[in-house]
Amino acid sequence: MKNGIILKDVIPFILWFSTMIFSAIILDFVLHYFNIVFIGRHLGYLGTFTILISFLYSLKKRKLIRSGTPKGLLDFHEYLALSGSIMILVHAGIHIHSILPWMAVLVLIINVASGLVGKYILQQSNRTMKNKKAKLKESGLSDEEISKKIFWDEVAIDNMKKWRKIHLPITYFLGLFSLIHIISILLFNQ
Amino acid sequence: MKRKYIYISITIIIIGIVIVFPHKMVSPGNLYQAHSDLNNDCFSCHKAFSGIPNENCISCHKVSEIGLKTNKNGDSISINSNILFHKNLKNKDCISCHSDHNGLNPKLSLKKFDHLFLSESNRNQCVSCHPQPKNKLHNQVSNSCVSCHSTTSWTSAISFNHDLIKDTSKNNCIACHQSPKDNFHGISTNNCASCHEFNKWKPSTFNHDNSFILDENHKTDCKTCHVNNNLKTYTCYGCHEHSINNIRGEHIEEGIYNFDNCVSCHRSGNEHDIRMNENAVRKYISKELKNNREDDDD
Repeated sequence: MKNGIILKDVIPFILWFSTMIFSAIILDFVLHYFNIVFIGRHLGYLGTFTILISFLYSLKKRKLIRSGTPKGLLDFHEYLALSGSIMILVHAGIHIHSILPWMAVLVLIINVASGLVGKYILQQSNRTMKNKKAKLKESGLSDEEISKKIFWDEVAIDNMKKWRKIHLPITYFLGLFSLIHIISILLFNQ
Repeated sequence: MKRKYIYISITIIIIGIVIVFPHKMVSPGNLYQAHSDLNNDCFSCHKAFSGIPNENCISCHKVSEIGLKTNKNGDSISINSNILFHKNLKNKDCISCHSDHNGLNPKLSLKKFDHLFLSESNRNQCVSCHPQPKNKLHNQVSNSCVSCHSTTSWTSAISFNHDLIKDTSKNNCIACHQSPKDNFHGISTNNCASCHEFNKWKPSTFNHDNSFILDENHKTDCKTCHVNNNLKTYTCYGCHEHSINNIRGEHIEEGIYNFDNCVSCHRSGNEHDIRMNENAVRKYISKELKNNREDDDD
């Protein structure tokens, strides 16, 4: 069971996260190697735009848009947010002098990590609960007895669902830092 | 509701910190040392949403005085007419050459200079700004930099015109070119021009007659004289005409005891075709005889 969790959830999480970091490093290396670092500046706009589009899922979730299925938009959100984050990381590189852009990059990385943790841990918890319920039902227990048996598990899952409480504030601060960064760039016309 | 206020408060605090400490929070890098007192005063150079207008630079740095007064107190440090080209610049957009936020080293603050900003007359006065390199090549060429270099790059595609070399240095090829390390060039003298043309390395003309004239009796394989094709050495004993005993006998008879290096005296297969004139030969033989007698006395 433990190995199953590692294979199904921990490894994909690490893989996705490392893919983001390594892709950014490789892209940055390519830009420097071919002396086309100016593309990095444009990746800032493109990455921001990509992440903004990924928020369609959030709009759907809050019923602000009608089109699209939640599942499809969630996948859309995950892939676009990840690719947008890679672009932003390449854009940032390591040539950052001041505190605010560093904080923005840090918050971005934490946000992706929290998103991936949410995705995999929540998926795993739901799967475990489903299996447990099915087994209990097979053993002939009534719904009330099953509810009693899985009470603490459900409490745990409810707690896990609170990951969003971290994901959303982090997203807010990511947006705030990015906005200040963009305004400062436009203001000083650098 | 409470959470909303927390968000608003944190946002206001962050924006406040950015406004009060812009250098720490959003500046892309340190300012040039002389500008470091402007670190938190962004608008002394920047104009909101309009970049950096020249007026903000010129209000402190008078274009006509750049190079005359170099510090902010207006003290004249050095008068160097060479760098007063600022007043003649066609385009007076300061940030097209100068940037800041690149650190405390002023050299890092320069973008690549576009020489097209210079007037036609100033553009060819390279040494006014660039010191002439002090290396072997540049010491022996004229000051016409543009013959080899362009204003866009130092390493130019223009092939070097050897006519630029001063007459006194024209035969000093090895000051710039390395003598090839092959078998043949190892023994050749430094007189490259005897084989190579001034403006072309290839084709070259090697004249064996300069070392030894190959007459009709000597038209043979190189390895007959240069054993194993080693051009650094040669021997005249490769054919039976010149046996060691025969040569020794003939030379000792004439009073010549040093006959190891044949071509130092013999220009060709004709035994009378000697490099030295008659007087020099007599002098040489007398010296040889004297040396020989001294050896016998010992």
